Formats: sequence, structure tokens, C-alpha cells
Amino acid sequence: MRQAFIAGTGLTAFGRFEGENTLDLMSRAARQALADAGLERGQVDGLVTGYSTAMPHLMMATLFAEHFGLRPSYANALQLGGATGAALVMLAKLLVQSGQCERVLVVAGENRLTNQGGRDQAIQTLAQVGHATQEVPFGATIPGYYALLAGQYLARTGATGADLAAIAVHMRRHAIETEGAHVTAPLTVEEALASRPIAEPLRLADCCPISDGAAAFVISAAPSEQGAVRIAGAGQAHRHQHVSMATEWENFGAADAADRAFAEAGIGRDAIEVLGIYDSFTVTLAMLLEETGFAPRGQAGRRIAEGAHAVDALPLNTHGGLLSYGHPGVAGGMAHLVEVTRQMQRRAGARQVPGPARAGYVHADGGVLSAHVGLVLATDRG
Amino acid sequence: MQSLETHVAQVFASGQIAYQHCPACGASQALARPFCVACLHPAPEWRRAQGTGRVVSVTTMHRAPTPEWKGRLPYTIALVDLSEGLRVMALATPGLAAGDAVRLRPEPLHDLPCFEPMVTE
Repeated sequence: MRQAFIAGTGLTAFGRFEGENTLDLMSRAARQALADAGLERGQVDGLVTGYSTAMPHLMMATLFAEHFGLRPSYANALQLGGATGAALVMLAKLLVQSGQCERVLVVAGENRLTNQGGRDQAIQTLAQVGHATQEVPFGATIPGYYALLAGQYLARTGATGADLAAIAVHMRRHAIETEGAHVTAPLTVEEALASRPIAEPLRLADCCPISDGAAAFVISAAPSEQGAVRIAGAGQAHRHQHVSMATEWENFGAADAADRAFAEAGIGRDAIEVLGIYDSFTVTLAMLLEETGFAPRGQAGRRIAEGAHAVDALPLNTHGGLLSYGHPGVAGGMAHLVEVTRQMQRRAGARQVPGPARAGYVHADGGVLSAHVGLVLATDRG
Repeated sequence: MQSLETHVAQVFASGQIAYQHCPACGASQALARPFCVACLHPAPEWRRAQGTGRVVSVTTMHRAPTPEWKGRLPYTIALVDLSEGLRVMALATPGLAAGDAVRLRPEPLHDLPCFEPMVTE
């Protein structure tokens, strides 16, 4: 079967961009990805898009195709919460490998922060991933659902709030060095622990911001001239939707998705030299890093504090992650893959990691650790 | 589905929790459906939880999803493993922790079931 490569990447700044709507932001990222790939719009034969809570639409893919001037022979939108971006890339990979498409544009973005209703509306909309009649009525929110995971995580593993705070500090340190990051005020563990409670045990510093922004890729049978990064493996797992149904503590689905991706790639976790792991909350990152096999149970935060994921060790979310680069929905989870790709192409500028970055792993989750997608990236450099 | 949802909400409003039990295979389910998810039997029966269980996790909310809930801040939400073997979400009194034995308060809170500490006399 033929290979699928990341032929182009596009990523806008994340933050507050008054006056730009979903299509404006998506167009910006799409232009960047096409320019990066050295392609014209007419060379795109496949288009897959995410969704926008700021611009709900039955047909986001064809809406964008018309707006941006594309006439693809294959198009559809896909919805999988925070895992949407990684799932789109997996779909694009399959479209290229099957021969259905030559060059697939993957794009998502929205003005989640400056949309009418702003943060309050976004929080109310996002809370609806909970069960409509048996969770949402109790006044739960996305931070609330993840706080219920965090409460279990801390009680079961003995990890502490300071361990989680170390994750927030790690992301902030990287965001400070990243042009376009949403939140760049310096942060210490003490400040994180003193930030106001949102849904205990989670505090403000444990939570990602709500942002405006967009991201895009071109997935192609031909590699980028700026460095060949191949999607070597992709895997999914979906074991529950609601937090009250996630009763198997040892298996939320992250390990299954990762195992499937690594099995396809034919490499082990020990070959991975750069990571991009979904971090909507500090506890999200801790639980995903541990279940996917990159940290022992309960030790993700402590190991980050000890330098296990420093740039000269196993680099992690070097753009600042959702926690500090920002989170505009689907594009938020795509930013990890943009960053890992650029690190593997050795194009990350001042943030370039010193190691060879020959293989990368990206993991995204949607819902409440509900939908999992893992992607293994390889350069085939010796 | 609508009548199922109405039943769930009506039992919640009384401060109690409804679940479904399958007369065919004996499985119970916390989330209401017009069938048994274990065996697809089309007519699971309603039961009322006896109202005791153990706290899996608890969170005290300081940011609300709606103006209505904003007026109730701070409030506490728990995941509880019921004695019947089902996990449910409900409100809870402050101060509970994972592992605590709990029971439903006799009276609802905000027309919803609310767990309180099990008092051993």
C-alpha cells in the first residue's frame, strides 16, 4: 500500500481575534498549509473538515469548499470532539493510501472565544457532551467532568495537586517561547496551586483557555520537500461517551488506540523521540501519558517536574499545548501534530529540540476521555 | 425515549434515582434506554435505587454552565457506585471524599437527588 505523508502544515496564532469568523480562520490556516506544501487550490482533490461550535452547519466541508474555492472529488466533515483533528488526519491517510485521493486538505478552526456569548456560551455548549438527562441536569461542565476524573486519579495514584501543577508550568514555559501562543504570562507551581478553583480539584491553571484559531494540513502521497514525515500508524478506540460509564479505570481506550497505531507502524514506544499529547486539562495529559505507556501510573506530573520531558529528554507539547498555546476546539488538537511535524522536519526555529526527532507520537481524546485517536509519525531518517 | 426521560426526571425531582432492570437477562443499567443494552430485550423494568453507595469521586463547582446554576455556586457533584452495582452522577453535600459511604438525602436539592454521608449510629 502506498504511504501518506504530511505534505503541508498551517497554524494560526491562538487567542482573541475580534471580527474573524470560522470561515475566515479556516481560510487562513488552509492558505498556510497549501503554501507550505507548494500547492495551488486546484491540486486539492480531497477535503475533510471538523465542526465549529461558533458556526454550526450541516455541511461544513462543502460550505468551506465553496467559500475557499475548492471543487474536491471527495469531501466530508467529521465530529469526534477533541479527537476530531487526529481522526481527520487518519481519514486523510486512508483516502490517500486507498488511492481515492492524491492530496487531501484537512482544516478546522473557529472563533470560539469571540463568538456571540463568548466564554459563557462556550462552557454551556461544551457541557452538552455530558448525558442530557442523567449528567447535564446536575450543573456539570467539561471542567466538572474532568474534575471527577482528577478526583479519582489523585485518590487512586497518590499523585498531588503539585504534580498536576508541574504539567501546567511545563506548557506555559513552552508557550512563552512560541509565537502565537494564547497564554504567555510566566507561571510557577506555587502560582498554579494558588489560582482560583474552577471545579475542585482543578484550578484555573489546570484548565486550557478558550481561544480563537485554526489549523490545517495537506496529507499527500508525496512527501514535503521540507522534510518527509510519514503517518506510519493510526489507531482509534471508543469505549464510552459519558464519564459515569467510564468504569474501567485501567482502560479508557487510550492504550488500545496507541497499541493499534504502534502495531500498524511496526515500531515500539521506545523509538519515539517527540510527543504531542492532548492536554485540555492537566489531568488529561497525566492520564493519557500514563495510559499510552509514556509514564508510569501516577507519575506523569512528577516526572515532568524532574525533567523527563525536557527538550533534551523526550520533548512533549513544545508549542505549549492546549493549556497555554490555546484551545479553539478542533484546531486545538491539530496544533500538537503541527508542532510534532515541524520538530521532525527540524523547522521549529528557536524551539527546535536538540535530539534527532525521527519518530513522533500524537494522541488526542474527545469528550471525557471518550474518543481516542493515536498517530505514529516517522521520518525514515537513520 | 421521551417517556423514559420524563420518568428519570420525575424520580430525580423526588430526590430518588431510577434505573432499569432486565427481566430476561438480569442485567441492570443506569442510563435509561428503551431496551436492555446487554441483551437487547425490549422491555427493561424500572426500579428505584435503595439510595446507598460509595463515592467514586467528587467535585465542588466554582464555575457554572448556566445562570440558574451560577446562583447556586458553589455546589458539589459526585459519581457514586450504588449498592446495586451501578455508577451514577448526582449532587452531594460538601466535604465528601472518594471512598466515603453515602446515602441519598430524604429531600431533594434543587429538585435533584443529593448524596450525604452515611451516618453510623
